[in-house]
Amino acid sequence: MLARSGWRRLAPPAAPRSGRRRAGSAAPRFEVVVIGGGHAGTEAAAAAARGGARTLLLTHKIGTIGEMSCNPSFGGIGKGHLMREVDALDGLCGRICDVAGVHYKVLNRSKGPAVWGLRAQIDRRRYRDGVQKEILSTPLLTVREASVEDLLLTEPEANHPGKCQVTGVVLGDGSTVCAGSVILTTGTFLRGVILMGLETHPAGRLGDQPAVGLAQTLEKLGFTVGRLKTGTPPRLAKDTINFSGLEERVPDNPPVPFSFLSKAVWIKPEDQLSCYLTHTNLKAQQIVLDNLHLNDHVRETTKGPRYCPSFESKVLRFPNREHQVWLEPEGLESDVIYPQGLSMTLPAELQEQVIRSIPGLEKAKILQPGYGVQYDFLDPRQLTASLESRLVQRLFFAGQINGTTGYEEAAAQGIIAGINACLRVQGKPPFIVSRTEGYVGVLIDDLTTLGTTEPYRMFTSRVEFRMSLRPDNADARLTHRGFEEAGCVSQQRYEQAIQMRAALEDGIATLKSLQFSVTKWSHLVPEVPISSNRRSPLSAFDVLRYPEANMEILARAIPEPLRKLAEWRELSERLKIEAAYEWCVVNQQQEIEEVRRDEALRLPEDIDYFAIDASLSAEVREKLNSSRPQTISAVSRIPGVTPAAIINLLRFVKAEKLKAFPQTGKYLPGKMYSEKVTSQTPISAEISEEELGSTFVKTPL
Amino acid sequence: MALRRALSAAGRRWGQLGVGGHLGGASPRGAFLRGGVRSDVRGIGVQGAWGGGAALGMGVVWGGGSQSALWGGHGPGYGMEGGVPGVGGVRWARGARGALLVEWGRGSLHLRASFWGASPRGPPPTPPRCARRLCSVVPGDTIFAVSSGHGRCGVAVIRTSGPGSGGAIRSLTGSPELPPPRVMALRRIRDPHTAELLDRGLVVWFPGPQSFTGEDCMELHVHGGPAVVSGVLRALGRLSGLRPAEPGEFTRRAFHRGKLDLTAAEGLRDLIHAETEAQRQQALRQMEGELGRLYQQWGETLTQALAHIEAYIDFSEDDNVEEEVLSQVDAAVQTLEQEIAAHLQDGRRGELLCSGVRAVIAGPPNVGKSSLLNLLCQRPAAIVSPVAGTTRDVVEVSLNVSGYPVVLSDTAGLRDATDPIEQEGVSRARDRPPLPPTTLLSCKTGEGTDSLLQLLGQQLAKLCGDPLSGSPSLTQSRHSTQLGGCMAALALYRQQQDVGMAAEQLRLARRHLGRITGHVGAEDILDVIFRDFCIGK
Repeated sequence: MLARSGWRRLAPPAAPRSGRRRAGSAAPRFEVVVIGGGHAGTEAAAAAARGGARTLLLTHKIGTIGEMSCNPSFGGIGKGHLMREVDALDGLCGRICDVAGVHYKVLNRSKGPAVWGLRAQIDRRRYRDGVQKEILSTPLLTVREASVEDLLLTEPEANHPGKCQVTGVVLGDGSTVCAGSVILTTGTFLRGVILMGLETHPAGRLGDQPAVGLAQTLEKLGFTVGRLKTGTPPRLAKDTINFSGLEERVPDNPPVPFSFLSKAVWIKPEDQLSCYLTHTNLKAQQIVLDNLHLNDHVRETTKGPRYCPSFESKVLRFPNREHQVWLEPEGLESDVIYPQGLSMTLPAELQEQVIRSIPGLEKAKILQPGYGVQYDFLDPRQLTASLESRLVQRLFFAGQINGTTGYEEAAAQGIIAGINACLRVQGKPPFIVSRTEGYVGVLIDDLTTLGTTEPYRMFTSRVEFRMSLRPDNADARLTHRGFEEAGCVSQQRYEQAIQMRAALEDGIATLKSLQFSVTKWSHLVPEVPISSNRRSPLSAFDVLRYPEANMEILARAIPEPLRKLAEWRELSERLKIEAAYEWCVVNQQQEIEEVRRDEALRLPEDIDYFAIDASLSAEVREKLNSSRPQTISAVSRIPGVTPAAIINLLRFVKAEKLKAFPQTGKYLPGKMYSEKVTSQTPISAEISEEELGSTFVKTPL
Repeated sequence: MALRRALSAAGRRWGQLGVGGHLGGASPRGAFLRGGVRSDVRGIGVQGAWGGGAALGMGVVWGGGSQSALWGGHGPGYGMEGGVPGVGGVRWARGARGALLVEWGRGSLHLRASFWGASPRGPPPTPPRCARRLCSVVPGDTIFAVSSGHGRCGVAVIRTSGPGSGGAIRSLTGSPELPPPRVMALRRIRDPHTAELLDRGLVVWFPGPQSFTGEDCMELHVHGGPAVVSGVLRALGRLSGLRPAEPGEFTRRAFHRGKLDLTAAEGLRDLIHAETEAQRQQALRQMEGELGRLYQQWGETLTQALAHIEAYIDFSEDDNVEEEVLSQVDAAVQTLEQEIAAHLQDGRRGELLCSGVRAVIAGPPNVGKSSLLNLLCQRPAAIVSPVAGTTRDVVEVSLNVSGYPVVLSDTAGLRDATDPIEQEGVSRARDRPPLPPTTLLSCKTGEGTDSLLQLLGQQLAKLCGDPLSGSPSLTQSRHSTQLGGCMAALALYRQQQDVGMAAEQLRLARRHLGRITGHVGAEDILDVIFRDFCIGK
């Protein structure tokens, strides 16, 4: 564990350097400047531009924008949820994965739609090209190759926390760019060091320079920084691998697209590539154990991820067993295979020995050895829920720099930072996704309230309201908010989401209005084993809940009015899911309300926990001070803070508490199940805009 | 010459605990009694030597929870009467929920009690009727608590808040009419389930929003004795939709409804403290000892089960989490469900206590049991004579010992028997624990009465909780509410369609248990996952 003392409290805060470098009148001016062109940076820049801000994306190399620097896949369990939410806010990654994947597979198929994990192997080049095409053609978005060496700072605004305010950036060539807000998404590039065996050299990614000047600036500003490590496996030449004896994993047919906008993915189901599974054996373990002295990365105490450990750590922690290795294709035309599970930092020649001890890889050729990366990250507890830093106003952070890992986690933070940087310039209230609304909310709340001691990855187990926050309903949860509050969602997507919502509402109402006795149902749908001691009458929605039931069966039994619903495949699938989860979702409703109520109680930013007159223990004061929770809800999640302390803190809650979250409850998933059948409007694909406005925007659903 | 007796009470299992009293030497000048207490046992042994060293003795047994169940709460008929003077013997007395072994001999007497518990050796756990009732009570949003602070006091105020408050008044007063708002009304307060009169007290009805919390509220001002207060709390806890308040919950509700401007109300800090700190300390006190360990152990089992099912959801497909994890989780959940069900059944014994702690004076005939009774109640409640067998029936008197209500029963002496179960009891009795401290008492002069009362008081405090620091019945009722919720969720676990929904029930169960043992966060679950599985791609 990274002890608190392990944090480097960097040099004492420097005085705001207003005027030291005053931007000349000639300096170009942008409303939002994004530093970094990775998954966080591209989403942030695109979201800010969609929101209407004149945006500049600064990157070392335009050619590496959208680069997938580690695994050749997107999505997974929990991560797929994040992608759906990014997509619901009109982000890039879902849409581009739908035109770049080579192997689509929904994980957890048998475990219920709430935990389905949309995942795909992605063609690296297609993805990168897709992102670059999109970024370079986004209106209001300018891309420039430059390194950023310093930030321009000025006096802080009075009504916000922070000791100074960012007004622009200084580039490598000494020129300046003025900015309304700045988003830092520099990933592992802050003091990044690459390790292979006993060799180390500074780099953010193999072949790319680390960002040193920026690191120094942040240091001078007094940001608390910690250090993390991660790693990547060696890459293998496809034609040197013998796949014949290995277990093959075939992709889904038909593939499920990531984006709500995609009807289907680009590739023909039969053209998809397979993955293969092999295992390490004791020989590989022996090689690792014999050579620990040659492996600095593993021996060091810097915190690495527990769920994505290097092969060396697996051998040390769970010795004497076989470990899985997935052989994943890197693209349709690529000759590279990515051995998932074999992240290593052994010297290159020993990596080869390990590889060759594995079945199927006896003759495999290493194209690029695996390596470890150690890098600085910012303690994310220094950020607010809008991802703006507390120390420097208008400076936002997103992605791996906040201590997360994974493309999807980066993208999710990127889109939120982009939206908020834009809203900040426009003087609008921040766009905050609650824990009760999305995985994005859980991710950001966990980071900004509890911080992290290892690279943070999204898991469904972190999410309290997993039954409500499903991949299938991300659009119903977020799209309207993105459109109305953030302006980052296109009209087309908004209309589609609203239409789907309307159809679902009406579908549920129709199903609930069809009520028959148990006997009648058994006669109508003999394939559904309805237990005879069920209370009569039973609605069609109740029947749909049974695992054996689906809309098709119901429509066959009661063609009018259900046939129309069943014909719309996507709708009928979503109705089935809603029916199955209704019970759970309704049960969670009370709890969701409680969390929201506590989230509405905001603590002042500038509260001094050591000075306030409240009976709080020194330990609690310490915890509150380091976490700087923004709401009472966040306080209650800090381990060790007692109920008494929470009650005591209520005295300091800001008076304007009640106006927070005007949207609260409006589109709450459970709210859809109103008992009263309100409308029997036939589902129509052409709902006029006016109707939309009156039905779905003003009336709480 | 010494008389010894050990009382044993076993709670959950057929375990043995014992109390013994021991008298070193008899005084030639009168009757002396020696009482003993062991801290880990709910019982006391008093032994005495009578007159010129005759080998006679008696025991006082009482119990909260399990002991009262032993006697079945039925007063007479628990099998202790009909003793015969003898030189030794054993006898089993079977109560409603257990059996008591009495062993005596010249100069010694042992009592051992065993209960049907969760042990596999006991009768198989029957479907818990009580637990079912608890399950049906979805944690409602009407809360109740003692709001007058905890401790012995003339009047105790019990407050409820939430939509069920009006219904609670109707149920407790047995009248469909609510008293006029914000006016005190004198009412008979009855337990709606047993129709037993709990107290005559004042009832105030505060319809929302003009109330402390802004919700419908009511207050009961009842006499402050622990028996009355716990009786009322228990009655409230049985009403559907009502549950004991979580720490600080009244204050938070008031706050959320804009009823409490805490910045202005500095004086409330004490109240907040009373509401939360006292409850917390009380919970902590309850958590020490065997019960605490038991809950802790359940908590760990459940956390592990939950972590494993979460691992199965988050990692299984690409990683090494195998399907068999699920069957292990199923097994763990089933065991846990059975254990909690059995425990809840056990816990009901405590509810028989409402009219006071039952204590029994037991011992061979003519050792002075009735004299002790008369001494303790300060009136000739029982006839005493030098003739053995004077007491033929059970004589009950109500006493107030250190503020606790005690129903003291005088019994007839014990007689011989040869039941094999009794013999088993005898052999167990021989492994009795070391004898506890004792006290000497003379029924003639009253000498030593104070120390006996003091010992009794200490023991009662352990049983009932210190009246100066809080009533455990509130905690008990919180515990059974949460355990009931936990069990209901475990029962639903098996009925779920998919693993995700099943995991949801385990989360719910864990949350209920967490309200007793402490919250378990996502990070704790991940810790177990990464400890137990090699996750990693």
